[in-house]
Amino acid sequence: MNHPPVAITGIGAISALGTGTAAQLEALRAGRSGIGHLTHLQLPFPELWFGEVKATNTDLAALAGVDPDRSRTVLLGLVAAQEALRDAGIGADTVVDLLSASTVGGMDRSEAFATGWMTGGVDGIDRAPGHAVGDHALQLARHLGLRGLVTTLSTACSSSANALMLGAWLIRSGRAEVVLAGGTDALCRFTTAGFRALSAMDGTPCRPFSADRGGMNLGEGAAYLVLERADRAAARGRTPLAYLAGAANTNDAHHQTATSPDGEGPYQAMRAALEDAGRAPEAVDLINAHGTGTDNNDGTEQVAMERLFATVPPFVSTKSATGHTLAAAGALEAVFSVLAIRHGVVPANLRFTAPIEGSRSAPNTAPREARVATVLSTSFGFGGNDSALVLTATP
Amino acid sequence: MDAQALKQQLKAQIIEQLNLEEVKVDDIGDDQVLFGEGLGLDSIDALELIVLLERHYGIKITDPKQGQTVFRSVNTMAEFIQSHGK
Amino acid sequence: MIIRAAAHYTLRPGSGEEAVVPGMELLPKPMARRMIAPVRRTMACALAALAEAGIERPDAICYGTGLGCLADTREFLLEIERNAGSLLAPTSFMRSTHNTVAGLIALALKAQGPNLTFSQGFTSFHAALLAALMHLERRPGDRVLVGASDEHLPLLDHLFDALHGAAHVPAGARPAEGAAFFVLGGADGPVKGRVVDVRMGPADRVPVRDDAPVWTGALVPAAANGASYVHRTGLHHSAPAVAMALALADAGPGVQLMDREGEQHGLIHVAR
Repeated sequence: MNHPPVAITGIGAISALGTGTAAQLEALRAGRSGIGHLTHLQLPFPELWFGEVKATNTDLAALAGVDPDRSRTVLLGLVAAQEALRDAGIGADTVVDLLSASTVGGMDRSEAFATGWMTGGVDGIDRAPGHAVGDHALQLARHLGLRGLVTTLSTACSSSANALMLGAWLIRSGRAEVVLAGGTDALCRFTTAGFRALSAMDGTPCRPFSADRGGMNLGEGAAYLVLERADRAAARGRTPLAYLAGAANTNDAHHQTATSPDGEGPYQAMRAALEDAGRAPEAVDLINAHGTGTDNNDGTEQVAMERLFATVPPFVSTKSATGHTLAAAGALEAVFSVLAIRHGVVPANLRFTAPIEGSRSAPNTAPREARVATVLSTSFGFGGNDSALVLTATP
Repeated sequence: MDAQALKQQLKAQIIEQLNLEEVKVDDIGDDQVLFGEGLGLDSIDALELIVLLERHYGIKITDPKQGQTVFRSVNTMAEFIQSHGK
Repeated sequence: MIIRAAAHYTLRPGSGEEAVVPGMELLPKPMARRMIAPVRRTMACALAALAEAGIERPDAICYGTGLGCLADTREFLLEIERNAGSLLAPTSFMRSTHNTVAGLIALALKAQGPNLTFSQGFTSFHAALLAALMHLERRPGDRVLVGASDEHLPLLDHLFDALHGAAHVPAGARPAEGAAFFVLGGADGPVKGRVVDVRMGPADRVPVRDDAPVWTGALVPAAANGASYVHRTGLHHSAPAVAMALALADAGPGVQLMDREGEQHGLIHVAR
C-alpha cells in the first residue's frame, strides 16, 4: 500500500430499523427485525413483507428540514447524509465531493405519471426533472451545501458499495480530501413488481442462507459515510471511526441476473478487496454478506466464501432485519460494519433454519459481543456486478 | 384444437414471448429440448413461459420447479395444456 | 492518458439521415435477442472500439448514461399498468437497470474486471472517464473501455424541455440517440489521441484554459473561443462522449468540451 489511508470520520443511516445510527446499533444488538407489512406507504402489495422506513414523507421532510414535495429517495438520503456530516464535524467551509448511489431515483414520485409520459401524455410533467436517477444527488448537494464534484453510481444492488470504492479512489489519487459516499432508495411499485415478476420475493419474512430460503424482502433506506484522508482527519483532531482499507469491483460475466454456480465474481471481488487492503483472509473477523435470501444468491455466495476461507469467519445477512435496500444496501451494511468495529457487536442473521445442503458453514444466528477489527462487506447486483469492501479498526 | 395445431400455435407464441427473432416456427422440433443446450433458454425464459401459459391458456404454475418438467419441450407443454386447460 | 481507439454514432429520428453504426457485424448472435435495438447499436459501437484497438476484452469498463435503458423502463411501466394484479413478464424489468449495457458488454466478452456505470445527466460520461483515469493510475498497463450511450424515444421530444428547461436547450436541437466508446491505456497499440484533463464540480472548480478552443454542450452558452457542438452530436445526455470522438479529429492544442448538469460542470480536454 503506497497510498494514504482512507479514514471514516462520520456515518449516517436510516432503515427499517430506525432513524439514525444509534437506532441501528440498538436494533442490531437486540437482534430486532424491521420486516413487516406496509404501514406508511400506499403501495398495492398488502400481502408482501417489506423493510419499510416507519415514517411518512412529511415526517422525513420535517427531519431533514425541507419541503416534502420531492421524492422519498431524496428525503431518506438527506436524513442519512445530514447525520453523517454532523457526525464528522464537517461544515460548510469544507469542500466535499458527493458520490451517491440510487437505482430508482425519483421513480416513487413519477411512476404514477410516467406511464402517461411514455405514451405521449404530459400530466405531472413538472415531476420529470426529479425522475432521472442522478437528480437525487444534485438535490442532496444543493440542500447540504456541498461545493465539490457530484455524481451518481447506478450499478443495481452493488451501487453504494461502488460509490464507497470510488470515494476511496478519489482520496487515494489526491483528487479529494473529503468525500461523502453512500446511497439511497425508496420503496416503489416499479421495483416491487419487478422483483416479484422475477419470482425473487419471499411470501414470508426472509431467511437468508437457510436451506429452505424462499427469496428476498425488499427494503428501503439510505446510508452515507464521510471518507477523509487520514492525515487530514488527524490534523483537525478527529479520531476515525474506522478505515476503508480496501475495495474491489469485479464482474461475474455469467448471466444478467444470476450468479455463476462457482461464485467466481463474488470470490474475485472478496479476494481483490482483501488484496487492496493488504489483509489476509485469516484477518477477517466478520463478513457482512450480501445474503438476499434468494436461492441463487445465497447458494453461490456461500460457495464463494467457502472457496476463499479455509474456515469461514462469522457471517451474517443483515438484510434479514432491514430487507434488501437495493442501492442503499452497500453503504448501510458498511455503516453496520463500522458499528460492529466500534462497539464490538456481531449482528444476527435472523430466522435461520438449517444449513444449505453441501455447505460446511452457517451464519451467526444471535447477536453477540466480540472484538471485531476487520469486516468484509459484500454487495452483488444485476449485470454480474460484484463488490466487496474491507473496513478495519486500524489503517 | 388438435394437438398438431396447438403445437404450431405454441411455437409461434414462444417465439413472440421470448423475442426469438432469428428462430422460425419450423426451426423448433416438437421434442427439441428448450433449455440449456437445446434452444438455449434460461431461468428468465422459464418465468416468461409461465406468463405465456397464464395469459394464453389461463393455466397458473405456482411452483417454478414444476416448470422444469412442463417446459422440457413443445410436446410436454402441449400435453400439459391439454390436461390442464379450460 | 492515451486513447487507443474510438467509435461513435448518432441516430436522429425523423431527420431522413441514415445512421452509420460501427461494429454491427461484430454482435454475438445468441445474445442479440436479449437486447432491444438501441442496446444492440450501443454494444456494436463498443465492440467496434475494441476491434480497432485490437483487443478481445478490456480490463475494466466505465460507462455513463443519462436516462439509462429508457425503452425497457417504458415497457415494464406499461406491463405493470396493463397486467396489474396478474403475473408480469420479467424481462423488461431485468433490462431496465442503468448498468444493463455495461453488464451485457462484460457478459459478451467475459470481461471480469471492474464494471462501473454512472448517471448524472449531461455529465454522466465525465464521471466514467474520471473513473477510467483513476483505474489506469492504479494499473497503468490495463486497457479500459470507456463510453456512454443514451436511447431516444418519441416522448423525449416533450420530456427534454421538462427535464432541463426549454430556455436551456439550444434552439432547433432535437433529441437523438447516440453513443461513443473509447479504449484507453495499455503499454502499446495504436495512438488516436490523449485525454489531457477531466474536471468535474461547480463552475469555480472547473477552470477553462485560454490556449485551446472550447466546444460547449446543451446547457452551456457558447464560449468566445468556440461554439456549441450540439448540432453535430444531436441532443442527448451522452453527447459529450460523441463530441470527444469528433474532437479527436482536431489537431493542435486540442479541444476543451464544456458541459453542465444542474450546478455541476464537466470539462474534458482532449488532444490528438
